[in-house]
Amino acid sequence: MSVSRFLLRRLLLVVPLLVFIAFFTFMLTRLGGQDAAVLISGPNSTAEELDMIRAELGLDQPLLTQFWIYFSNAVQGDLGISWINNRPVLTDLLVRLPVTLELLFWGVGLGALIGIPVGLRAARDHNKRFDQIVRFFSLLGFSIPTYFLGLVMILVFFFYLGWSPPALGRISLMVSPPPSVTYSYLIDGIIAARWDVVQSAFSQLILPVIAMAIVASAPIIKQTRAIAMDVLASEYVRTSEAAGLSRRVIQKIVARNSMTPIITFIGTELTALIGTASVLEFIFAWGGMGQYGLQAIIHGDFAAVQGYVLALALFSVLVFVIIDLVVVLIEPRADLTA
Amino acid sequence: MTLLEVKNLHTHFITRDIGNQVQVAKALNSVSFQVEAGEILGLVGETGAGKSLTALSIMGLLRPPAEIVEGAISFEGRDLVNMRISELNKIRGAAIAMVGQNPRGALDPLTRIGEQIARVARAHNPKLSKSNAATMAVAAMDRVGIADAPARAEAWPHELSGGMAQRVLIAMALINGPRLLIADEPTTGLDVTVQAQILDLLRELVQELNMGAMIITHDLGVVAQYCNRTAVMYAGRIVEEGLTGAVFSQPAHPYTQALIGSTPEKLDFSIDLDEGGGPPNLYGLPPGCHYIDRCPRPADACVRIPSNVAISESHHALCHFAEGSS
Amino acid sequence: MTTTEVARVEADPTEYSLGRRIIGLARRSGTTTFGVIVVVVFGVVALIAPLVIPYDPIAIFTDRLLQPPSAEHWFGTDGNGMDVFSRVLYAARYAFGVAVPAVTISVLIGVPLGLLTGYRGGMFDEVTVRLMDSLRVFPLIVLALAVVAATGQSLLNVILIIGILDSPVFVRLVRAEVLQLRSSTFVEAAVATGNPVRRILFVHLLLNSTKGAMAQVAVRAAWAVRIMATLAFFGVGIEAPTPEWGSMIRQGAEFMATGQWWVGIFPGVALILLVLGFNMLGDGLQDLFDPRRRAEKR
Repeated sequence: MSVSRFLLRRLLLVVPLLVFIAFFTFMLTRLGGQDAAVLISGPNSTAEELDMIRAELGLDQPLLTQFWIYFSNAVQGDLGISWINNRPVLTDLLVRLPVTLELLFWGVGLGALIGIPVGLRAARDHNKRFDQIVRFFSLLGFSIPTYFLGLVMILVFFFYLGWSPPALGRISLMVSPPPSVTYSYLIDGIIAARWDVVQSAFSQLILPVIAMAIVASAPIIKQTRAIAMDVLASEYVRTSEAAGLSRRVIQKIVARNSMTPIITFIGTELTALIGTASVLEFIFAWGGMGQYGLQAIIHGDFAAVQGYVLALALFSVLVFVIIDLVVVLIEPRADLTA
Repeated sequence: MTLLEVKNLHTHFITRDIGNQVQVAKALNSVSFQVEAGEILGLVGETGAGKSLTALSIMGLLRPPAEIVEGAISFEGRDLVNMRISELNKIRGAAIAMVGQNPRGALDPLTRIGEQIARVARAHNPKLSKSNAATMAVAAMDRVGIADAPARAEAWPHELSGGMAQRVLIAMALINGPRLLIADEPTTGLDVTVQAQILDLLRELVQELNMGAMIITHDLGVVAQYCNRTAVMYAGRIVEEGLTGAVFSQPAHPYTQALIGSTPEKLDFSIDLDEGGGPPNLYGLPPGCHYIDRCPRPADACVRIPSNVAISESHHALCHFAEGSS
Repeated sequence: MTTTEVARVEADPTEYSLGRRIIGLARRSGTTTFGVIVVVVFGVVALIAPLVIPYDPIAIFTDRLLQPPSAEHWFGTDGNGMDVFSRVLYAARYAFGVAVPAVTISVLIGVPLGLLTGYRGGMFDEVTVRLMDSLRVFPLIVLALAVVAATGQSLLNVILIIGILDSPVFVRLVRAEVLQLRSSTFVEAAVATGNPVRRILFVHLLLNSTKGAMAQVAVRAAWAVRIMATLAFFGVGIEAPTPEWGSMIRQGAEFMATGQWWVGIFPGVALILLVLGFNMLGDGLQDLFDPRRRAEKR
């Protein structure tokens, strides 16, 4: 079966999941029975005003009808209007998505770049000193709340050391943004050859990316270590040892055989990590989808909350499909018909 | 010339339980035997007797909690037990080679088989070019009877059958011209016909290259047909050793007698078979003869460890009553 | 080659006294010991907090706003003039008060559900598994935030939501054990000797599958504490003057950039310590219960 047919089949299987996700996020905001109408027009509205709002928003319809309206709108690209800023949810999300992705990409990339070799080495030297230290730090990484880490980093690097700029967003207020091509200031700055932009964007990126990398590295290290230990215990590693292959060659064999499960794992972990990124956006005033969504949750902007959660779920589904595809392509054992 | 000499080998599994109390499983006890060039030694015993562990001990492949606590292993006069890994790596895969069971699991899933064989060649001869090594690999595959070797060299391990995979492993073992070959259960999991082919191949290669070989198996038939000498293992001890013909026709140790007596051809249901019982508890072996719990004829003397009684020049058994008991 | 299970027969009964075994356990696993100590210390603090704290956790001292740590206020005072030390200690009650019931709920939902789906199989199993898998596309934190925000600010809500959202872990764990055991030979043997199937499954499965669950309990407790703090940080589920580490950190966030670090750091450190304690306890327990991992230690 060709790659494109595999992809098509995989995407088709995903459709029921998408419907479920849409329904679930829809129900999410209807759960508490909070009256959206009251939220919108304020506690002092008259009954008529409330009724009018309800009719406008379709809140007086039966639940399933509401869902149908929501779903059909969503499929056509209308995710509703945020009652806080009166802008369409979809537009706001789309503009902010690349911003979040930038943070996620650099953060998880750095976390994997450090975490995978550390995990591999810990598995190789397992129960020795390096491994014990690594395991402790991994546990510590699981125990530090993301927001706290961000705050401490701001405290240390901005307030005490003065090394990093204030955490007020992705670019200094004194630098005018470049024309938006990719919505990433860093890349857009390079494209436009605006080195002041690049420098500012870079210095704003450092702290949140490092925080993201630290948080991401904990699960990556733990899982890489576990995977590599499994591979080390395998029959074919023993054969290689019996054949007198050098440590270096065996390490390469172990690393290669660990890669597929590690990549798969990171793919599934991205779901949680985009939640982490959202929290970091909040702390660093990053202006991405996460900050938007978390604000929406706090203020009860239900259309925006729906849109945000839906976006997160769609992201995860897309990641899963891509990972499946990547695995199929790089694994000689994989069967496209599976 | 004596290729391999194992003297008084003790390999134990040392662990701690939940209460941090040390537990020792004495898996190999006072194991001694030799392998000469040009002969095939068969190491036979039931599951858990320690046969594979012996091979692992020789090859330096033991992992915690297993370790050699006492004894000497020498290959062509060189001590293997205390040898540094870097030195050992020059020997294993070259002068000594091992072929294990589970052939398909023993191959690296992400490397084509030709390359896997070639890299064993390159590991022991750094000056070898990639293309030369590849040629050698194809030649080795040809030698072990893999048809259409140049094309097959590009195959992935999961595409191979069990028999084919085992041939690949043998090719890997042979590529550097070993003087000693250890085959650990080389035919487990293979078809009967394929088994015969593999074993015939092994015997052919041993004779052709004047290698010494050790076949580890639980299958008495294999030993009877292919091995010049036989060593019988029980509870980590070699309880009988000698020329295959002698051991099979005049088994001196009660365990060997029971083994040979339990082959279908010899089962006589009219006799009350005393042999039976579970595998020995390696954490709590009896202080004297290890076979005492299952022996049909235990006596008072058996609380002391028996010595190796010589029945003939090349036939020994570890039993107080070895002489004249067959 | 395989090292067979035959060689690993269980040791003869040991004559070590219980005390000696506990010491042996402690020496064996530093992580478990550390974890136990931390959790116990925090647990004790949570219990006796009202008796030992120097000030009422919500007492306001308007004349002592934002004071750095001193002899009178060990951890200083926050922006409302409340004593940080008392609040940090008192907040331990909320940590345990949420984590313990929440994890209990997870176990009470998850373990029976896992047993049921594993045993019954079929449509019921399929649907449950698919449902749980579908939920994995949502980040847990965001989900918890959204649900609690929607259903209203009450501690009970928080406990319930965390408990429910965390139960799939136990369902999966127990289900996997059940599936494994169902096809194992000892179950077949038990059936062959005439034991009624239901009783076998119940007794054997319950005993064997809960071993893995026990170690998870500590890890889930760590998560429960973390999630609750995150909820509080975002002002969801916890109300203003309640001493809770998350909301204290939130308040501290405002002052981080201006250097009044004590408002946010102390609750943060306390939070990290307790979560770390639970995590180490869970890690150590997993180590102890997995014979394969045990065998690798010397």
